[in-house]
Amino acid sequence: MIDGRRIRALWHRERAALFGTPLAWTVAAIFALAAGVVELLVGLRAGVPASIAPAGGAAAWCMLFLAPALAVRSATEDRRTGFAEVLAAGPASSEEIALSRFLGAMAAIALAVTAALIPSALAVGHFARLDWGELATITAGLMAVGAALAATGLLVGTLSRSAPVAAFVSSVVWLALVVCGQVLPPIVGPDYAEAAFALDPMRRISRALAGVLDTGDLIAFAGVSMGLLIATAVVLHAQRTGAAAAHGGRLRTALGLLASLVAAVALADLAADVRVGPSIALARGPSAPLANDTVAALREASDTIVTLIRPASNQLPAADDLLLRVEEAGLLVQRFDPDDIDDPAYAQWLETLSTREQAAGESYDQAIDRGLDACASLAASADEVAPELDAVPGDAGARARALAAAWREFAAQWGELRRAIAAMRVTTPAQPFGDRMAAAALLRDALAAWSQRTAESAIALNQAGGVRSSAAGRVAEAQSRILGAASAQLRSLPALRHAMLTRAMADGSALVIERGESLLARPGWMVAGGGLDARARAESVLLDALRLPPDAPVPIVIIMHAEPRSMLRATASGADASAMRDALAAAGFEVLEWSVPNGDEPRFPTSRPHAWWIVPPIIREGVEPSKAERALVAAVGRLIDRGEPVVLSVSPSLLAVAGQRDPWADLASRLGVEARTDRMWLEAIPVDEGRVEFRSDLFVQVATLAHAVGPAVDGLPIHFPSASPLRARLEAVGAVAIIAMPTDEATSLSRDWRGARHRRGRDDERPSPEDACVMAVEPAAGSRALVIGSPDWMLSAVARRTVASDAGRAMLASPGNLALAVAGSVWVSGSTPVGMGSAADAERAARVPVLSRGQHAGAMVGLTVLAPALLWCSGWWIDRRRRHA
Amino acid sequence: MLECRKVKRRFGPVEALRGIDASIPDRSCFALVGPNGAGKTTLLRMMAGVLPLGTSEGSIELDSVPRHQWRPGACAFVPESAPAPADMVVDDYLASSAMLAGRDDADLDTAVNHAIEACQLRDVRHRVISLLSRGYRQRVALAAAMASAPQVIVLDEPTSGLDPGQLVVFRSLVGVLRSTSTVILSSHHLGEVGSCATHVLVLVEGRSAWQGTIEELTELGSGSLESAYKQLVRPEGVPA
Repeated sequence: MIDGRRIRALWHRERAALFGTPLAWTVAAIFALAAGVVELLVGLRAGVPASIAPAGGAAAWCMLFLAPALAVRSATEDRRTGFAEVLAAGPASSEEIALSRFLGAMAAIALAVTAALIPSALAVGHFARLDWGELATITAGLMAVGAALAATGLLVGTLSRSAPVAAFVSSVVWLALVVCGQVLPPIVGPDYAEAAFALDPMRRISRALAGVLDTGDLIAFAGVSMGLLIATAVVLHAQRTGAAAAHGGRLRTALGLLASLVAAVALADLAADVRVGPSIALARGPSAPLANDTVAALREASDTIVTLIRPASNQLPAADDLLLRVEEAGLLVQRFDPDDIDDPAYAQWLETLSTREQAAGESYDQAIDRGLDACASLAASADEVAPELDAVPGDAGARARALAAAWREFAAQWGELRRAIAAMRVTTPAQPFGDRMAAAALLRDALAAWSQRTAESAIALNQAGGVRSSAAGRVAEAQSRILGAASAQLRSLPALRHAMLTRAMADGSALVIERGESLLARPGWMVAGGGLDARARAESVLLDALRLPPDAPVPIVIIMHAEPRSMLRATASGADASAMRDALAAAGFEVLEWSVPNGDEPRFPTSRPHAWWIVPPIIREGVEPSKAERALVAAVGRLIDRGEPVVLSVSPSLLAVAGQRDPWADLASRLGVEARTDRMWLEAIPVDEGRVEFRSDLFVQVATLAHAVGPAVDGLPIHFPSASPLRARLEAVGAVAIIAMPTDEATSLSRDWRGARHRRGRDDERPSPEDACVMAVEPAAGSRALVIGSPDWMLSAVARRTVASDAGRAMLASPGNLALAVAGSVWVSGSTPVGMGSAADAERAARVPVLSRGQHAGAMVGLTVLAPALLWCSGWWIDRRRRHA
Repeated sequence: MLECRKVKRRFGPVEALRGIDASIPDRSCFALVGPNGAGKTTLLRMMAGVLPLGTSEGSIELDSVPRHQWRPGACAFVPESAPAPADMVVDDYLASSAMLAGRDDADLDTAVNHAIEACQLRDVRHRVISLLSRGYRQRVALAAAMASAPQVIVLDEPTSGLDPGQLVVFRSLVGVLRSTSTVILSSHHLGEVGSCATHVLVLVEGRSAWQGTIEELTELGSGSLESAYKQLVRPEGVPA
């Protein structure tokens, strides 16, 4: 049906029209210019991964507008000049005509892609190291999307007489798909979100730009291209034979066109099912460091079992993709549907988990029951104690009456506490273990608070004197002892691994990783969606688990602060550490809290690996530190003196601005880090013509790979609000700047950051490459510390800020904050991390070095002047030569 | 022999052809003449296959083979504007036309050279088509048709816009074309028809007003083609 010679004959004509004139060369020059400018501005910045992805991204957008224009030219020109009739009378079939036009456009697109990528590839190869795999995937991706765009232009051009109109319509159709892919998912909801995402060609291209060759994307583009080409041939045939006039041809044409388009859509839709998932070993960009580490670590951890618990209705493509790779790596993978209560394998697995922690579960039950008994006893004694408290005379009377009111309130309402705890212990198919840990934590906090109140009550009653008061005082004292003992028992309980599963499954699905006795569970939404970010998150879940050495003691993190309330409980404002607690707990840490002003210093065996997390005061009133802040600083000072592992966060300080000693900078200094808390990092953002606003939110994504923590956070966005610069002091031991501050032209270290609006002062400094926002030090033998130059980075409002994910669910906006918390805790607590700093480092993308002025100028001239000019001149010369032949 | 039987064509309310019968001998030059709107171009386009025949629109057969079954390349069509790919070099265009028609690679050069010589294009064979004059472009279109060696060449108003010198060249060219193919053309120039056509079909309002050899037509007009034409194509209401 299709004759190669005739295609070749027609191709000569396309070649002459495109390459014998300046047309294809000019288009290629535009591609080269756009790609060169973007690569220069984005891809060749010091410290970023050496990549041609920015050039590829620019080429993809150029493609959206120029590929249809290249394709429509031939069809509309033939109709305009009448040559279409010559072709129609000739021997070439409609399929051959359509195919030759398509091949002509594809040749021009190939030149444009080459022009866009090769100069950038040369620059990257010259200054760093070119990733040939990335070059191949980006080229394949651009050619695939170019084919689909060209086929669209060909069809529309065949239907239209005006080339500009046809090109415009073709581009608008694809732009509409891009917009649909962005706008529709939140509207149609999770059930149809994947279909809406599938429409967006730029989302598919983004995978190719990240170095992932996803056969699903290639099939989708190829299917669309083929369908549109067939449709073009059908239309050409109809125009040529005038089938509309006879033989019921109009109906046949319409049916043929419809069948072609349906075939295109079906192939694109089918792509999801026939996808050979992108190899995580090949992926780079946002997921590459994780992917490489994952692969390397999986090979070291063949005792790991990965389980996906997911109702049949809940699609988790990223997790499915990941599990395929994990299976290939030789790990055992299980998939369960929690709604399928008859599945014996699922029941067996739950039974195994339950048996493994049977003793711990029973100790939880005992401790909770004992705590509830203590509460019941407390409520029962309220009638005896409260009236005596009301009768306390003198200065202590007011406080005693407040305590009496609290006793009565507890007696009246403690049933609610009992019911809440009972509800947490209930087991259901979706909650196979209940949440004993949450129940224990709730009860422990209540008991701890009431232990203190009953002790206060006893003191007040004993001081009041009198027989009845003394008797009530003894009751209160006894209650205080009972409550304290019950609280201590609850506090001493080990972390219950399967409680994590319960919490994770609150969402309905979970990814569970078991390694030895370690278990880690993450909610399904964190691995939902089909994008690379979801894949990267799913991989980081695996890594978190692998970093926990099996059978090791559970590490502890103690969150220290100066707030009177608990920082571990979530608040509406997000000014708490609940996100950090969840992340650390999910990574296998036991999280304790120490509110220094309240004095309840937690006790734990010091032989267990641990890390002290210091949260600076969230709100400061006045310049001078408050009493609570001074107490916190003093406590931290003692820890540093003892060589305890600490994670210290510092904030900009007015004291330092006024030239006085800032106690937080002093603490950092004792660790060997100079914290310049008189300055804040600011970035100038042009918001309007001639108007600039200053932002103090530092977003970084690049970490040094020379430190164990670096690979765990490298590539993940991290948000540091109100950052102060850190530098290693001369005497610092083992100091490594894990995350350096950006040193762009727009950034400064300002002393004038007070007030509602930041501004840039005269004595501002430019950040230097030595200024860091995260530093690791080893101040004494075997002692480790992390200093972070931002006060609020670990608060839930920052660390748990979410945006809509691919599947319309929430996803973390700055996943690096939680990753830094986990990886930092692992390192500071002295645990031996697995999968950090592995041999996979060698596979990492090279970084762009700091370019000298000459090198930068050379790159600028090469990318934005020489390459486009060379192409344009080639077209001009060829055209001139032919005209003067 | 190319034969048209009861060929009809309607464009909406307009009946362009009302049952045309014509027999065109091999290697003849068959001219369609008639006033504007008589249906000349429609009939030519139907013969060329640009406007295909419906089942109720009669038949066009070449050696008893229906139009839709003609072998690929059996017919070449040169529209009035003589379109050719503007950006191609003459040589390349002729080679691609010959290749499209199924000529062997070994035969390509011969075919191209023959067409170039026949159409007197030697001086411009390496020039880009868009830079050529109207007359040269017309010759390039004819050369492309010739290079593809069709059995039938259909030319729609091939002499419109040509200067007298180019007309002379064209006449000789038709003679060359006739040596290998049947040439069917339409024209308003009776002088041109008289000098190169062997057979004539006079169309009036979609009907065949007269058909015969050029000699018979000349005889009908007592030695004058113009006179014969006036007799056959008289204005409405004017008695013959």
